[in-house]
Amino acid sequence: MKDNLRFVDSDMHVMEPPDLFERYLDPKFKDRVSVRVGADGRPSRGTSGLILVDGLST
Amino acid sequence: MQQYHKRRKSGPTKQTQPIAGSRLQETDRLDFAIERDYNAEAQVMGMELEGVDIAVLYPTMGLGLLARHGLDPRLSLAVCQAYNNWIHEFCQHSPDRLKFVAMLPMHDVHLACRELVRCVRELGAVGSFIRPNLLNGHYWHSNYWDPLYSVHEELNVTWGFHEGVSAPYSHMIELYGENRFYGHVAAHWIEMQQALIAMMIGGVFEFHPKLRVAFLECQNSWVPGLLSRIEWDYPQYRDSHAPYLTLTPKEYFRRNCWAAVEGSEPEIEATASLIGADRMCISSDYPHFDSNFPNVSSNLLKTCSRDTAAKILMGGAGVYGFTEADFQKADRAAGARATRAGKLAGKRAVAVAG
Repeated sequence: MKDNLRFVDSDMHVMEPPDLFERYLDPKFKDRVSVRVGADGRPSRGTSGLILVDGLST
Repeated sequence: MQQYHKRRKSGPTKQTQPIAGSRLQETDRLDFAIERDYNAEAQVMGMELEGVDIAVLYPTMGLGLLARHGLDPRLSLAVCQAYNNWIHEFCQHSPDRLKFVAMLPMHDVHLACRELVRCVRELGAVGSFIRPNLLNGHYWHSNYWDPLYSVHEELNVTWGFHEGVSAPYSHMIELYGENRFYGHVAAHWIEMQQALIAMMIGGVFEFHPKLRVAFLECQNSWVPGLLSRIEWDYPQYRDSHAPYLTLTPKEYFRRNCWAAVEGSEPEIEATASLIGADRMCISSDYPHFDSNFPNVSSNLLKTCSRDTAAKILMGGAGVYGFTEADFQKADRAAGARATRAGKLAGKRAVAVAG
């Protein structure tokens, strides 16, 4: 409630975890989606354009 | 290009929208979320800071992920399935308050229908996330999309148009070039306007009378003018080009559409008087750089009358078909959470006193 008024946020955003595709993408397609990695070799947050799908930026 | 030039005049930029000047960028207001790596707990904390009862979640990275012509439809589907499975789990943190819309593989309309059915029936999605841009040569008045409009109606879920910026497949990207400012201003309005014209003239709302479409993060002061413009052309073109249209554009909009504000637009009251505050809804846009979080709802209450604000804050219930029962479940979830927090605080106080 906001000031005793019901409030539906019609459009809130999530920040997807950088390892989302590592964990959830069908293994058959894993070599077609690449994400930025940090010095530890693990997926790291970056701008969305740094995710490549079939080698092309998004 | 112009954006690389330094400012030539010192001092603050003149502002005609004083309460819109509280954007997230360069503030510490997101520290609680960054500390929690934007997990679902942070999401609910963000809702509480704004006073949100139920939130419908859209992607960030996913906004532009599939924004390309010619993508392999099977890959498009796999990416959507990965996102949808993840966001479903994310919402399980507080399923009565966190809702999501499904990302759809729009590179194949039948795969998109299948994925929507799966997400709604198995994962509890309340609609779809769709970018308004032209894709693979099929725009919104095309019969190509007819099965997807029908499935939305049959499932009683919402078609959520949400634009991003710099989609490689936008037909307007050629105009923007490398100027992100231009792209950000134009994409959020003009792509939506084109989508609304195409749907309206193509008879999407005539042939799918139960379809619910939301135009999100695009403000909405343009809506009444655009509806008038379409009606302006009814005498010249309706009989010859669209004899199937039985209602006026405003009547279709009031039956099938909603458009969002973000709380601080100076035109809110004027727009509400023209299209009805009940066809308006509100986007917090948390946690994006151009959001006014956590002041979105406070701004709205300062911008327009309380009656108008109340309708707009509830607009999302109309968009997504939430009922009193949904709000009661959300209230119970919020209450249980407050009780847990109270007990925890009590234990801490006892521990400190001891």
